[in-house]
Amino acid sequence: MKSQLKTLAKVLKHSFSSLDTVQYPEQQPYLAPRYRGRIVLTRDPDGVERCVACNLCATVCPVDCIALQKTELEDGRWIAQTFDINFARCIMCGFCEEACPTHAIQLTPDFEMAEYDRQNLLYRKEHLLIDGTGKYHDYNFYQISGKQIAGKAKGAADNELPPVDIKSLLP
Amino acid sequence: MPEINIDGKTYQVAAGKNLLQACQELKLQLPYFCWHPALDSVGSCRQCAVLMFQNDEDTRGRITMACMTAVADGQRFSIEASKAQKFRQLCIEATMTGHPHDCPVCEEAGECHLQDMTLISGHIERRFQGPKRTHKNQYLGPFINHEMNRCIACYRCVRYYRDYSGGTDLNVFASRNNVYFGRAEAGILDSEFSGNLVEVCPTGVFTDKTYSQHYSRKWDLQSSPAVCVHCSVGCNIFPAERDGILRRVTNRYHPDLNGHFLCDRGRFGYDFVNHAKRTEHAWQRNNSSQTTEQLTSQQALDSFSSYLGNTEQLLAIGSSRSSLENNFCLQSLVGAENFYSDNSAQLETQLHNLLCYYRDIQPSSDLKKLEASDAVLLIGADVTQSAPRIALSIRQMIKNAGIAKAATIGVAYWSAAEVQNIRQDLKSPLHIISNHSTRLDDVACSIDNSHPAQQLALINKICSYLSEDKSSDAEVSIQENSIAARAKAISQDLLRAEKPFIVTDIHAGQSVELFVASLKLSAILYRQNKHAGLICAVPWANSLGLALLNSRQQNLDSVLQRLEQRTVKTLVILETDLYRYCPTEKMDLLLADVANIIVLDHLITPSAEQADLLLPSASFAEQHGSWVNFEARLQNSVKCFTPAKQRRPAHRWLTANTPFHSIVKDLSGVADCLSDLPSLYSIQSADFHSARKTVRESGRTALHSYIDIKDIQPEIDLDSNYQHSQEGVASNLDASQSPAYIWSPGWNSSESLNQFQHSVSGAIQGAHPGLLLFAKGQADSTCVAENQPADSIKDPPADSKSLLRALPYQHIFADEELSSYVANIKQLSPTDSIKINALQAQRLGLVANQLLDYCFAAANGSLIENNQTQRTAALPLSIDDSIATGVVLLPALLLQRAAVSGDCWLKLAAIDSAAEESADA
Repeated sequence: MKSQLKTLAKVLKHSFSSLDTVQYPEQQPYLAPRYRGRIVLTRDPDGVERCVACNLCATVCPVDCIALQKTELEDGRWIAQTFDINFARCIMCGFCEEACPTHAIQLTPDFEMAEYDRQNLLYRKEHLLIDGTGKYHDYNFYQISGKQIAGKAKGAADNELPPVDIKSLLP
Repeated sequence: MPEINIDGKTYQVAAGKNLLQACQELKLQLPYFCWHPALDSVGSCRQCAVLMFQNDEDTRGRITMACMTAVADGQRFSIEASKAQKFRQLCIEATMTGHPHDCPVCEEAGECHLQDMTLISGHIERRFQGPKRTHKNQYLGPFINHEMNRCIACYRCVRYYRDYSGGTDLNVFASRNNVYFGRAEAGILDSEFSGNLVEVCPTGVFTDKTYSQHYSRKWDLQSSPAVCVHCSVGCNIFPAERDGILRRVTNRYHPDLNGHFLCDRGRFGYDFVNHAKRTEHAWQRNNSSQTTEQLTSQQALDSFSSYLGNTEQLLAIGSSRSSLENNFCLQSLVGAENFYSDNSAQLETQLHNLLCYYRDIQPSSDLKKLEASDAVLLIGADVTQSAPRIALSIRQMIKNAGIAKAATIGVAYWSAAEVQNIRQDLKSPLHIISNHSTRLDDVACSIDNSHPAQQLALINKICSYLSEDKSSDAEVSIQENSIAARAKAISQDLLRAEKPFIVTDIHAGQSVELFVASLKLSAILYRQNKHAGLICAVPWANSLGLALLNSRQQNLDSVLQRLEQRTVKTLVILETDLYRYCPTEKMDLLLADVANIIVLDHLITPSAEQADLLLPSASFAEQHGSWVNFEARLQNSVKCFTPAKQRRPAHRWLTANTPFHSIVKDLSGVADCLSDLPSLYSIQSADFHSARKTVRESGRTALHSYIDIKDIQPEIDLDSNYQHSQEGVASNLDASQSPAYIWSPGWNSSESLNQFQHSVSGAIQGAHPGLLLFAKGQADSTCVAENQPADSIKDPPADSKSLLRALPYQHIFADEELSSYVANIKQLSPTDSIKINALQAQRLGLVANQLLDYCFAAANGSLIENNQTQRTAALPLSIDDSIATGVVLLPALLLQRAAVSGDCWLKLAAIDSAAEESADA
């Protein structure tokens, strides 16, 4: 008897507590910047696509939902010719972001991706690519890589010596 | 067998090897860079350091390099001792200080020996924060990409390129931390075997440029154990596909054939599979409406069988570049009496001669035996151009004298630098008898580029020396440099050798007498020395296989004859291009009179353009098939990927979907020697199949989503034990059949081969070496080849002195049909020219680079009428002083296309350029 009253009191008490239910979509929840939602492809600080089509994101993806094809730009950069993510399969685990050596692929706090037609859940490169740097503002892979591209000769990357003069006899 | 102790465990190892080889055979994880199973040890990279103990009491031990330590009974080593581990780790850390931050944009990443070894040696964190050294790159041609920053100075590239393959234009420059591996100046690599640099380089300095153009990581590739189709050697390869595109070809180790290395035609000539001119749909010409209609597969089959309804005036041509099964299906469909090969009468006879010879006189030899031989006589064949892998083996043979010398003073064969030092200029004898200079001249000890008649005299003389009793050597004074003297020198080398080899080949336009004489010579040699061998290259990948099926010897000459007689109403052409065997205008005329032309091919060849019905067949990578190589070794090639659209293997068009296994079964009944064929294709009762795709394949649920987001079921292969998916046993776990790709945990590069072998030069576990069709020769029986008289070569038709004997010159990148569709290969094929020597040119009043008109003359002396397009067919003259007087060299394809039966002569005439200009105006 005592416990029944106690229960009633507890239930009654809840009718005066504040609501947990959120009036979505009028009311948007707070999502932290590191929330793992819709995937984007970002650009270098100088505006060029960051993705070098190294395939690591696709490899690490546990549901194999990323497929891409490498091609090369005239300036020598590797770049993705196609970049497809099948969001019908994606589990937003964020492994791809962790694996990405160029900070190109990033997960964003956006989860509103519902579609009536499942085919629309395939995001191709034009749907993924954004115009900014995302979460990492300064990173520029080709400034660190030893690979030569137009506008960055051998020895011009960060922390590099000028090209060896193989004819030099100096010790 | 010596017993050694490694880390407290006792192992029995093979004697005469070094510790690194022993560790590999024991599957112990010991890193290395500079050692390579084919290049042996130099001990420069310091990666295979182990601790060696003096005796049982020794607890300190000393660091020694495993690759430089011969195993001996009672030795005690430690791989895991912290001192040795630390040493290896520090070494690789020092190596890695200059290595760039490149892996994401490096083609090698994911199959990089440096990545693997860094992990094995335990260097997992970079401490060095200083600046990295950089190097400028060079352009090295259309095949190889150069990125010198990544170099770790292991010296493998120059050791392979210079010491193994005999190249001269790649070298090492500068010293210490500055060493540079490249050419003196940027330019196309000269060697025909440059592609192997990609696999030899343990990191990404040399990478495959053609692969990079449609790049995919190694783990995403679908592979299968296949056989190369670009020449008659039948090197074993792994074709690798992703998303319907053949991405690259890599070497598949076969101990008796290609070993670790391929030629550039085999490695880079694969792109014809992806060519824009590949056939994808069945087409039918509608003559009434002047249109070409696309058919469904069923319509195409119906149409095909209606064409074949009338077997009268039916003629079918098989193909030397198609599998045995395809040719067999065509033969059984049209009947043997209507089945013709795509060889000229002369080639067909030679191929049958060779088969007889293998069967009755001397069993065939493989390249491993050639590499172990100690004297070679090369007759008439420019093998570097026609069957390049043979030339690479001959280069290894040269070193045997040096290895033998080193052995006499106790230096093991695997100590490469020491052996090289001892060897100096010592060479095992290589004698060349050829029409012109060849790429092997630099290692030959005698070269004879005389007129075919003199060559024949020389060979006959050698024969007589060989068959003579050796005691009657004391002959009267022989003039120096006379044929007799040369013959004597050569025959002495052949008699002195323990394992002498004759190397020759069959090719269009050659002098038949010479070929027959070289078979005779080989037979005499074999009668005296049972270790003697014969290597005879044949024109194309399945030339011998086709000859085996075509026992009636019906050939292309009779095809042309029947076409000329207008007795062909329905012509079926299987994967061959008739325009390669006949002048274009003549062929156009001949084909115009054929009512129905049916072509099965995977490329739109000039012949396919003439087809009334075109059935799209599959390339070698898209079908199972058997191939017979130059030594009559029957090998099976496993399908790599499913053909797209309406493409399907020719045998499926020809038999309307008869299961592959019943075709194989029927085929095995054709000849006694083929009776074991089904064993190559046996479907085991195992529970699991092998996977063609790797366990780490990516993008499975996204790759084809743009077509349909629902997953597509992978095709199920009922014809083999391999599946087109990741399902099944990974290749490293299945030792029951040839692996579909080479990968083992921790060993991502092609070096993982050692995880698949029992011994360093042993076969891949489970891989079928192929069936040798004529393994036993009986020395006493007679053969056609020997009975044919070969004493003289016909003189040129007497009436005209200006006639020159026309002989072909071959080129690795120009002659073969399929690779000639590949843009990169085409880029390297030389411009056609007519070659004669300077003296001859002077006599005829011709100068180099002058445009020449030419006219063929048949054996009876009558000039063969030149066609109307003689102006476009005019060729520039190039002077080559290695050619004998009285001989003119023409591009092999051009000579083949001239379709002159038997020996042919050529009349040259300068084109009057002024007259031509006025004619043009």
